[in-house]
Amino acid sequence: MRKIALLFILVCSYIAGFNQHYITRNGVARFYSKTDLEDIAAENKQLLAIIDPSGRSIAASILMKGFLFNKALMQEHFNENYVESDKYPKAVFEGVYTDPVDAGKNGTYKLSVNGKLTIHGVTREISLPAILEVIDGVLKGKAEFQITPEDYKINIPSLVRDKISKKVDVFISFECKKQ
Amino acid sequence: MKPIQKKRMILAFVLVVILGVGIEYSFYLYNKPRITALVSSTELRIDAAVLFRDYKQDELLANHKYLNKIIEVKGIVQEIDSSSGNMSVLLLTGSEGAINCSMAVMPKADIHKKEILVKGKCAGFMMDVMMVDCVIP
Repeated sequence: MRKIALLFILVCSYIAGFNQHYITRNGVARFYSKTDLEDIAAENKQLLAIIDPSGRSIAASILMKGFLFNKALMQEHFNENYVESDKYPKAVFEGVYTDPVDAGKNGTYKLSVNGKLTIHGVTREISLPAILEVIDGVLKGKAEFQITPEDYKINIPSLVRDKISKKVDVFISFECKKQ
Repeated sequence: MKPIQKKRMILAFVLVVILGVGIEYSFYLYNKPRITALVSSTELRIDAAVLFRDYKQDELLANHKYLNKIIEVKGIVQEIDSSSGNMSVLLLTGSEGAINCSMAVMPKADIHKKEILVKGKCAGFMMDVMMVDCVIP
């Protein structure tokens, strides 16, 4: 009887835990590079993000081919020469945040997110500030951070190096709903 | 002017013209805007359920067939996502995933739960099959 009760508790916790997942398939990721010679911007509106408030964890994934540039040639160079999106199609982030978030109560939380970011087949530990807003059961997240292409073994030819900033600004925004 | 001098002048003029056209063409290519599916010709027509099934069964093979191609997908609209400044239409596939169409232009007509045709570029597969630069032809 005790075993059955324990199993029931475990199943209930699992279901409760499972219900705590918040997800979006259409988060937005943008990046900018600004130099005296050229401004580069790209946007991807198909960021997959999953938040588990009970485990304070967050995971996100994005297809490199989903980044759209205004100039066709820039997009081609980005995919073929820099991020090699046929070989490394996805960028992935897995991390945890420090402070608890009550998804059942409206409020704004300033979080510190720590985790592993994989781009171009290279995984690095990163730490970034983020804002998570709970509005009627929807988790709205925003984060801004910088990445250095060379850290992810993205080689930029010296001929165009001055056209791309050393650090690229990245902006993330999403609205995750309960699953 | 001697004939040899005249010849050199013509040659120099032709070279300058070729150089000018070359620079102008390079400039055009460099600044050529990205085109949406609206002005690209369709390479494949497929049902949403078949496209998803192909990706679910063998992503590598499906990439070979669909990735970077302009395809027209027929399916029923499951959801329209306008969160975070988005313009996405999700097509039902009869499975847990969808055909996730990031729209270049959002349709004005009410398409929710209706069967539509979406034309766009296939960008790959995660939980859904991703299409970008989409339009309703």
